[in-house]
Amino acid sequence: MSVAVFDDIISKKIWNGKLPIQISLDPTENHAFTEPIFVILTLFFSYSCNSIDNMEASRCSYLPLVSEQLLHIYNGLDIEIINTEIWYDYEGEPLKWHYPIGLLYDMSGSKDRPWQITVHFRNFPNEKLLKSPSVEAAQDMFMSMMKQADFLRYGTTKRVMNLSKKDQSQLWESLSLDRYDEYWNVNQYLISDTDGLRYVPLRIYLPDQCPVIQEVVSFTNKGSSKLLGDVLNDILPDLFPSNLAIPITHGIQLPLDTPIDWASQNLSFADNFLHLIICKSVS
Amino acid sequence: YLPIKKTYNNDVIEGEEEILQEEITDPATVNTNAYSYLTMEYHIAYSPSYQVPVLYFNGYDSDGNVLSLDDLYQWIISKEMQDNLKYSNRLSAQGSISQEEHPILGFPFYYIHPCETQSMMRSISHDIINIKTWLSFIGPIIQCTLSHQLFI
Repeated sequence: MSVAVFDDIISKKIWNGKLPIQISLDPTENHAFTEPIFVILTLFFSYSCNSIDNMEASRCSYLPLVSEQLLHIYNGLDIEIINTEIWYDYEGEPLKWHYPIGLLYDMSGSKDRPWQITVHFRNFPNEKLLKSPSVEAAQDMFMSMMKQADFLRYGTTKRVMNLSKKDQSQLWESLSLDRYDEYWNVNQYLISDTDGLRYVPLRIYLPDQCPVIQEVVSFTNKGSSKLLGDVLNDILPDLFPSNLAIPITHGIQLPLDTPIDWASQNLSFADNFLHLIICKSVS
Repeated sequence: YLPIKKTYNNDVIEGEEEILQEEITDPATVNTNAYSYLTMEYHIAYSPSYQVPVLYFNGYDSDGNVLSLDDLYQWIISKEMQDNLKYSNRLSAQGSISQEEHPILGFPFYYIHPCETQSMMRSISHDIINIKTWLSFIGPIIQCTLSHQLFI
């Protein structure tokens, strides 16, 4: 069985992938805190380089962490926002706060730099978005994905469950504070074992709001390395191989001869899942 | 309680994945007052991560508003489960209740965490999980009761 090599350089690049975003306020929302100083705020932000006009988000991070930064900015202006569910939309479509930001951007099909999204403090779309997009809730969803990835890889969640409370927290905190080494200090215990590998933690996203595809994908093909093209041929035989579609992750088109075990080790998001988007190829 | 109507749907979605989806609609009458009722909607779908069935559910009041988790705790979720949940930490969400996207419909549903289902079922039977047996354990937590007719 082939042993996937941990590629430190690639892994670091994936972790450091950033996305410039421009957050606009919803002009139809009237808030007490925006009312008297709405005009001042927009002027302030357009002059300030660290404003919500020029934020950089990590592709591996989550929108509730961006909201946290927003609230800090507002706090710095002596504006207190409490008890609000903050949500974002891109071109009218509410953004799923439990998906990594890079995934949301690639799924949106936007080529904008910066990515222009709108923040809302009212009218939370309960029928479309999960409730309570707090940092704690995002952490819970993140750990839930880590558990699922663990279970898929090894058939048991014991690696995650056996982490100390401190280590469990460290995974999320290092992600929120952008500390690559601290994250991998813990995560290495979760994914470096090459014995007993079962299934690849992989989610595939098709356009037009298709249900997410998550199938059982083994790491090897009768002992030899399995390639991304093989996996996609199993799951989407009408699309792969063909000229119709391409697989994208972290904004990169992946070659079909990428070994799937290498991809899982080095191209996964912080939740240890490979999130692959299938796009129509432009030809 | 009205008898449960079950319809079996074999949904074939993109990627040729077949999921057996049972929709059980059980208008459960809870006497909050003489004129109001709650409607519970239950779906069984397959967890691709844990390879076990998962019970998804939502509740609605008589005006069609979706029930919050607090409402569900007050009216639907069994008292024993609530004590259990007080002591669960972030990770050991044994049988606890959270919200996520319905794997096929895509919009928010509450569900009972499936990670303990496998070990629980293995302690009962070493064979393939029988849906009825599984549901008879999980269902009552959220008032999803089965008619004994199903077991005859």
